[in-house]
Amino acid sequence: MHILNLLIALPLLAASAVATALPTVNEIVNHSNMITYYQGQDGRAQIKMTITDSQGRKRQRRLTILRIDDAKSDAVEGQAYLGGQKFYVYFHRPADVSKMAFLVWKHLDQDDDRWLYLPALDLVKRIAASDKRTSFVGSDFFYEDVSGRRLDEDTHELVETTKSYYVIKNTPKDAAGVEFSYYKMFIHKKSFIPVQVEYYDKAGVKYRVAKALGVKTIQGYPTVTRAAIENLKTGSTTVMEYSRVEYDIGLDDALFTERYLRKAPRKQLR
Amino acid sequence: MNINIDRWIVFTALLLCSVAVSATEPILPSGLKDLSPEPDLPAGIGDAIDSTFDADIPSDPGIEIGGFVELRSGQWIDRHHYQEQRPLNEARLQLKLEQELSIFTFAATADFIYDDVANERNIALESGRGWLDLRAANVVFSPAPFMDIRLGRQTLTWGTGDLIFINDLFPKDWNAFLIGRDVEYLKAPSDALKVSLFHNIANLDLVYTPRFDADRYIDGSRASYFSSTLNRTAGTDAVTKVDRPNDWLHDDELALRLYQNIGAYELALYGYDGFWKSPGGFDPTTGRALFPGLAVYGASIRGPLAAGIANAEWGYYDSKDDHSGHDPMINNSEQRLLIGYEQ
Repeated sequence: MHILNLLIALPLLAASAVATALPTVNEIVNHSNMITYYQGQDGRAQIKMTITDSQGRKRQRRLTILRIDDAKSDAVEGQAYLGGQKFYVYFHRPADVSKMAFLVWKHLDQDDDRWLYLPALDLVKRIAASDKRTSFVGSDFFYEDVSGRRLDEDTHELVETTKSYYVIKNTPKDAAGVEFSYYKMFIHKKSFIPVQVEYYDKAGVKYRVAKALGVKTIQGYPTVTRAAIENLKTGSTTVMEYSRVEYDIGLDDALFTERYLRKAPRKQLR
Repeated sequence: MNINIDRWIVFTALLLCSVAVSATEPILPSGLKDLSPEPDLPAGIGDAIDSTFDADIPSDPGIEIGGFVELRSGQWIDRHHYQEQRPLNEARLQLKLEQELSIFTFAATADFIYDDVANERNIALESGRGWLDLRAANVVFSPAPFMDIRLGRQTLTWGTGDLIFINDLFPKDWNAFLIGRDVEYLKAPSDALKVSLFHNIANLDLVYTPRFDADRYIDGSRASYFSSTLNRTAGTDAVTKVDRPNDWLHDDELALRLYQNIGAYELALYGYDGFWKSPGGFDPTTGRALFPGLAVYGASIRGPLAAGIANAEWGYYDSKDDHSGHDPMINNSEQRLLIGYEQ
């Protein structure tokens, strides 16, 4: 009798815990996507980028990123947060990239629009969508790492739940369009921050790892303030350190146009 | 109450079911089998203390100074007649300065050059000859929310061809491009006033150059060219002499661009009134090359196509001093069309 009680009681206790703690795969990836790319209505960060090659040689770049979201909500329920976005990236240093600017209009229903401004030539160059998984300004980050990858481009599978993480396997729907066969995300259960993302090539070999190395809560938003991507094939690593992170600063949508590629919005870039 | 109890029973049953299922879970496939150990939590997550992260970015003092030094040398490996065997041998120091003063942003870029090939000491700011090439010296401000003005020496580019220009009639430095300087030197600076007007319907750029800015064209002193008068390759033996339109406000240029994005497509209309930018005529009485009058009308479109970017640009070059095309000494009118695709 006692044993029977126990058998019934245990699952009940577990049920109450599980019902609140175990979200669906869809909820996990959406929450993680929101935390990584969509927090607040807009945002700004200064970035120190350090690229270290396999022989330990270092190069540094300084840049500022501005972002604005179309959706005016951060709610994950019903994907209310999800919408188009615009990014403006401005390079401060070194001299060979100084005043270069990069503009992305991210769309949900079509390929992103990307432009690169080369100040020495006063040239506004359009960048093809097919370049999205190529190096972002010589670093180990790809263009797509900066502005995010659309959730509907992959199928998501919760393969494991560990003490701290949901482990999600993401398989591209269009395998020919990307260089990986799948990637595995270790999403922190409490914060939904993707702490580690591992990319596997077509032979199933892990060749690229992205890591969140430091997190800080800024204006109530958990924010990755130190991130690294390591290319295991070339031995090159890029670390991004974020500072002066601000959310909800009231950026104007008009900043994200050709006008401000040619004439940098100095006040917003400081 | 009864219903509630029923629900609990069903729920418990489901849970037991799921436990049973997970117990018979298949072994992970090979790609996932050797799960690396769980990654460490980064600083700032969970119970750890927030990381100190403020990277040492200096505060903006309102003034920016930058620059670089470079040495460049180039040598022909085959024999070239009428041309320096070593067309490029130079040291260059570029200094850049930008300062903000209330609503004005001042920018200056100066290249200090030791050029072993040109061997010129005197400065000619217009042609960029001598030990100083002033690349930029301008002021930018916005007198109204819908207007930007840039006045002074500046580099200007528009059009869709990247480095192939149809409706971009701003000066080019073909010597720099052909002897192997950095690609940024393909563009020579203009001394101009640029007014940009922004509106929801369309944006308008107007560029007024009060005195004609020619290309830094191939004249034979640096790179050889085909001479139609000599009917052979010529260079240092026959450096082109020119009559250049040179009167302020009279020999002026006007360029405009009307543009708008429609969806992912960039559309633009262009107009230009001025002169052929490199010699486009010849005066047999003086033996000098000319820059005949030129007007250009054009249009372009650029946008995504399949996985790449497609662009098309068209321009009609109206050789104003020889509309009919009867004068063999002056360039004829032309149509130029560019269709591009990159992926």
